[in-house]
Amino acid sequence: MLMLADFIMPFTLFCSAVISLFSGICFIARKETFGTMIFALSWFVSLTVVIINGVVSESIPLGNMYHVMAFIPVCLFPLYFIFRKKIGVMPVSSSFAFISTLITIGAFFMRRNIYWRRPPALQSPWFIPHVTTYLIAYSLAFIAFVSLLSAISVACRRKDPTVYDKASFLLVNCLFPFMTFGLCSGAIWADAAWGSYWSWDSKETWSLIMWIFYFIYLQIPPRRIIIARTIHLFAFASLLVTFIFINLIPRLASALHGY
Amino acid sequence: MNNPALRKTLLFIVYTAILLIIIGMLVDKFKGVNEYAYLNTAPPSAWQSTKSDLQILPANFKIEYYPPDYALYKPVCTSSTSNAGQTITESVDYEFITQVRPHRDGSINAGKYGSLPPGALLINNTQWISQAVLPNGFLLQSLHRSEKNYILLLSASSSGKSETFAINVNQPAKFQNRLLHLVSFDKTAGIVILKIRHAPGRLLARTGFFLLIVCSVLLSIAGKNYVNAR
Repeated sequence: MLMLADFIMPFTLFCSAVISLFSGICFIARKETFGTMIFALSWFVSLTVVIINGVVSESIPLGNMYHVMAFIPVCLFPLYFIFRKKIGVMPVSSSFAFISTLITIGAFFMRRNIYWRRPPALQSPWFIPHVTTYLIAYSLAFIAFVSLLSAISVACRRKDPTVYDKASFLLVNCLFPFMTFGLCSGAIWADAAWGSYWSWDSKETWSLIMWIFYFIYLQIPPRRIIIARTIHLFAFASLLVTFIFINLIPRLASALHGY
Repeated sequence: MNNPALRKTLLFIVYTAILLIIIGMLVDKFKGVNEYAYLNTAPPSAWQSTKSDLQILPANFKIEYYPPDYALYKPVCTSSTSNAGQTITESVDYEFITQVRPHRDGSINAGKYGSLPPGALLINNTQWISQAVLPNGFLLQSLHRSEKNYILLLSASSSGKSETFAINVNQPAKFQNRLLHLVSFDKTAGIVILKIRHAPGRLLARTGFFLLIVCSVLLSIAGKNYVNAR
């Protein structure tokens, strides 16, 4: 157990970051088949990290920032496989690998509280679906944001950014049901656990703001693309607050969501 | 599914679902009952509602714990010498190495630092010992035990009827249209906090949540073709 926690796990995490970075480079070098194979390898390594976390914590490893950041790369490869044909533009498809690298590096610098235990409030059947659906939504949102940045940069160079805008819309359209399920399952869970759907806790408030932004983005007609991009930027900024800043900045800390 | 009318209908259902959730919450707030009961666990004291004849008496409160983790310390000898070069004091200090998790059978494997056999840390399969020494002299000291669950056995009585329930944080009990939630436990005061709730808007709100989830999925399916239309 000690070997797993202190040596094998950080080493595996490091390998996962390096391999996914290499696969991203392969995508940029237009070696898509080879890149996909390397990305698949990095997925197996990320999955190993999650399994090690589960073995060490003797629970589903979704309890703290380190756990969830180690879990996101596991979501990214299957999502890449689903979306690679539909998106088919290189900066966006390679971003799956680069986002995986970035998140894995982020996980490396989190407080690796691997001996985490699931507290009484989290002993619920809602725990796993609530967290995993949000993590799938976040994974897609990161890629959608890369697509948005690509669209803005292409538009600045006075080229046609339609393909990136479409990819961005497609990804947000797919993440939205996951985000909605996460939001609603959280409220239903809170109702069962504490007898109230909503507590206006900082994480809940920001997740609602994020959901509203993404919902508005999906309703904006194509001719108002500048407004759509602006709303998307706000949506992603609120995602960063919900997912990262609330957990890392003590002043924003959430009482009900800090484990 | 590439039908603007269908998309409009789904959006209308989404707004209706949001409205249902808000109405359900408002019905709970203005027509429902929310009371908090602060129950002493030792000695158990009864709680009487101020809004009805509901009475709650805690029978037993139990905290389930996980097995403890252990801190592993390395012994470090420190000594000081006199001007003549003789050792005058010698003491053993301990330096923290890492945290180790024992196995359920009471054994522990601290890798290169050594291990202890089954039952070494767990007496009679019930009690985890606070300190142990590995064969090489390294010290194991138990850390704070994390709480796994709170279980409250209580009897509720109202209108001449009485029932006994075992509730925990995520499993409220239902008694005569009221929900009894174990919200929290105040360790320092030894007080269990219960929320007693009559929620007439619960069905509305839950229907709203269900509709919202279903419509978001349908909107997403409809939206795939909307992408091409953009």
